[in-house]
Amino acid sequence: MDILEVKNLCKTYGMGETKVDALKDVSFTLKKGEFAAVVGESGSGKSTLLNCIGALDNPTSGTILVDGQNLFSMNEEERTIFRRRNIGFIFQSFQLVPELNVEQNIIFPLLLDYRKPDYAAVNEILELLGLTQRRRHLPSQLSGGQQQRVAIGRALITKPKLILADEPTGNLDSKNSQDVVDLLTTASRRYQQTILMITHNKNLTTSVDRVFRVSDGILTDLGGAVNEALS
Amino acid sequence: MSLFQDKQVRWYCFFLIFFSILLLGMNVMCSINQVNYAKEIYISNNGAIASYLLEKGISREVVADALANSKVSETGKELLAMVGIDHRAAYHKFPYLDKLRKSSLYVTIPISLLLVLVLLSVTSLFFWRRKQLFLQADKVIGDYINGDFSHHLPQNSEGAIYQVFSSVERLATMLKSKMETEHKIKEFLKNTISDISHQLKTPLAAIAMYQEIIDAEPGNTETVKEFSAKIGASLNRMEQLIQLMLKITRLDAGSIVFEKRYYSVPELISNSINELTARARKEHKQIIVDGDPRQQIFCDMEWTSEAIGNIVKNALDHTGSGGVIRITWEQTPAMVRISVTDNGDGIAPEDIYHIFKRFYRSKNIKNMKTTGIGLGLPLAKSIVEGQGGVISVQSERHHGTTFTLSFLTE
Repeated sequence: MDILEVKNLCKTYGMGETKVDALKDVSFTLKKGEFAAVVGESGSGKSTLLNCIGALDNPTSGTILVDGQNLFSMNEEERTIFRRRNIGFIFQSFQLVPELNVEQNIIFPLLLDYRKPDYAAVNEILELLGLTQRRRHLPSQLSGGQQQRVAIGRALITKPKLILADEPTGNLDSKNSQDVVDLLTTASRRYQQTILMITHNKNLTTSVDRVFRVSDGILTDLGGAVNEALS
Repeated sequence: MSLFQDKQVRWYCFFLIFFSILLLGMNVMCSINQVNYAKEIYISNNGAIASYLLEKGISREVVADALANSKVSETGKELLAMVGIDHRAAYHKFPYLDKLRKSSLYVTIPISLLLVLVLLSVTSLFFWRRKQLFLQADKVIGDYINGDFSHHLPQNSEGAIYQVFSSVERLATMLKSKMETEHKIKEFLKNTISDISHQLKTPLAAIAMYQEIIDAEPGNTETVKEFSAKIGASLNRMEQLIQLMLKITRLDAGSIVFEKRYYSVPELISNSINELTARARKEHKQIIVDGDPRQQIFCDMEWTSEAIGNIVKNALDHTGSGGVIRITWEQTPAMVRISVTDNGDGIAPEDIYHIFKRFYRSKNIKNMKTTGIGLGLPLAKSIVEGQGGVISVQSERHHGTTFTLSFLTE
């Protein structure tokens, strides 16, 4: 079942002489439960792609459907609410709230949507991410890798249809990077969670289901079949 | 307050507040009006009485005292009752009161009716619009029930009902993907059964043939020995296959409870490769175990050994004589990673995403003497993921392959 459908996506910056094609006719689909990585050099257009999918940037042409719904046919308020309920974000710079502890940071998106947190689900996520013993710690008391794991928990708690991870390992050393990617893989399998991750490090893509390469705005599928949920 | 999240509810509440203020204002206005009127009645009634008394020659002092008097005596009451002024008297006997009654009825009744009308119409408009919303949702949910997922519920607004819609949307997404996996499961079962029967038929056919040969030459000891050994090998292969199948099926069914405890990694590794060292020596291959001997790991000993054993077995299958298999481990901030690296042929890029699929056999393998069934790696994957771990593979053609098993440390 297609969670994300990108069709003929183009993004152009500037006009006339200074025109730059950041994305050229990009098309792909992601099925439910797939963990896909987009690799590419910096400036290749991979961040533009992620921003367009997250509706943080408007594409020049083409359509993006998240679970069959077109983000760009909504008004700004509807899009904000849709994004809050259906898309989770993980950033390079963690973006945790420094005054809140680990557990509070994880349930934060639920509070934004005026929902009551289900503590069984919170405990399960803490256990999955190896943070059970640090649930009362503040972000400042955690290492970078641990902070990024909290950010993963925060993206998972709303069980969004799609998680977009923008260079989640950009600020981490190689061991922590591998941990973060492995935990994203586990989460993807456990919750049938669809994840699209951007990275410039090709070594981190060994456990993902699919790999795309973006180069000069052109996307190529490097392979990896549909996630074998059964094997 | 979260009650006001919903736009329609918020507008309706605003209306109710506005309406209450209006109602209050109107009551205050009416009572002020009535008090004014009562004052007027009081003044004119007292004026009439005073005028009459003065006309009849009563002194001004007495009349003034009479008007200021607030005591009511029994004789006074009796006198009033005699002239017909008491509680039982009809309104029309008091001309002033009658006027007041008429004017207040004529004003309050239409205003109250108007207010009631406004309240009823706005309330029914509110309920009608809610009903439209529910009907719309009902239609979409009905479509979902019939397997049509082309329409979506309105879920992109604030408020409890939209949260419910958004949960229903999630439910629909789950249902849709369930329906699709169900189809895939059927396909998968069909393929699995044909794979299993194929895998069982081949050794079975061989056994039947060997048995015929032995049957034809029962006196030839050499032949009997040779073919009974072959029968043994085939039986062994069948048993292996059945064992693996049973294990995978038990894992699939979720009837396995992993008994996780802390073990030292060297202990786990030696338990895993116990039965493989002899084979490695026989095939002139080396298994090197290298890592911090104090490293602890939190896992199920028996099953994890099975997983690592299968990966090492796979490495032995795909390295030539003189091959080296290194088993190393390291602690990262959140995990323990065990790596099994071989210096064999490596995995072709077109195979790498399929090696964990059941019964997957690469078309690129030239030497078909490899005895893999295509269940070892899938079983390892099921075991590792069942314990919340991750298995990943990295390979370079003609240089070797590394399998990495990662387990959470906490």
